[in-house]
Amino acid sequence: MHISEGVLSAPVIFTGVALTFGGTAIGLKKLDYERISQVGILSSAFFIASLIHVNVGVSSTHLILNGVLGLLLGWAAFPAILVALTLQSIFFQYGGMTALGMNTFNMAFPAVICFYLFKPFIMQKHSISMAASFACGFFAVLGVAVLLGISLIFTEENFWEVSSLIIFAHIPVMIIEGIITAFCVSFLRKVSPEMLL
Amino acid sequence: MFQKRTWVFIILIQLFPTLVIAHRVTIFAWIEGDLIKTQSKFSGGKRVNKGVVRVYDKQGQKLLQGQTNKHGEFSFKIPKKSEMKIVIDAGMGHQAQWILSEDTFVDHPTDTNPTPTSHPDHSEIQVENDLEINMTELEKIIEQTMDRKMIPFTRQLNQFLTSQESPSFSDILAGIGYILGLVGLGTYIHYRNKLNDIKEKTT
Repeated sequence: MHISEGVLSAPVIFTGVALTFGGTAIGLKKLDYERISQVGILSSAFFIASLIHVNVGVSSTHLILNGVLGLLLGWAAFPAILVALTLQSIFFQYGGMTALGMNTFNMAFPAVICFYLFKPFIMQKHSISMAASFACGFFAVLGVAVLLGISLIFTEENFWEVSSLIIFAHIPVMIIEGIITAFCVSFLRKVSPEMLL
Repeated sequence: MFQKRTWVFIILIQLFPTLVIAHRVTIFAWIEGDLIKTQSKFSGGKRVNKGVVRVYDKQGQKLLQGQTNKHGEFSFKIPKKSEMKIVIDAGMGHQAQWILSEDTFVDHPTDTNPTPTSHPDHSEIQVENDLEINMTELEKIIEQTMDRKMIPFTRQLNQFLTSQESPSFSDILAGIGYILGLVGLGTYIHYRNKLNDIKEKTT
């Protein structure tokens, strides 16, 4: 899921940095400072979630939780994910420092998209809310897999094969993330619904 | 909410025996006789199956390429005795490298078996020559034995190195600490202005 050092070519690295810079700037601008602790805690959750791995086929994939982050934080998912990925890169050597920009964009952008797609349905009827939150977790990971495939387009020789492999390998994670997101939303609706507004 | 999520994780870990803590890919290379052996794994121990191993020389020229077997191993004949960069590409953007420095290639002494000069009538010289042959042979035998004996040691070293590379508990705590620190910093910056306003009003 994290692109390692030395995989990406210079144009891709710079594109990633630019996109992440833009996203983080919007995120910080839109960030409500009253909710900064929430951003921090979700950033920590993201930081740890990547340690839980699902081994499928030739590669190992892991939980991402970007669906939950997107749903609760919106654009603020960008700074939260940037911080968590920077720390993962330093402490766990997950993903290269030069690939940080691309990695952040790959994980945060689907989160923001899912925020706009599914957020309106979260406070609806219970069944609709559950379906929407499952879809949010599911499609957020699907988005990461698609973006990961696209960022490797210049480095992998057989693009379609690699992309379909990436998406296939992430199907279990998509389902698990969908369930986790649905759990989180149903719990928050009962305990602190103001977090979902 | 986070308590709930922790429970969800615990339940999921129970449900899926394939869930392991592993991710980063590593490659380790060592010399065995005239072969270079490599082993690649994801941190946590899962071997890289069908990963592509590429070998480059000092100038960055590709020397050869191969695929790992299901034990994550790939071995090849030493192409030339100079510095070498061995890169494992485990797919999906996972990549790692191992550099074999030039001094790991210790030159094996060429087997110059001195032909025994025949002195049939002089038994003392004969003995001396025999001893000399035995010395070179002995050297070869010792070398082979050492090579064999070193294999488990190199493997253990490999395991030790990779076990060190998986994230430790202190790494996790440190990361969370940094995030909380940033939250504190953000809060401080946010409330500093407000505090100044209050102070101005009170004085």
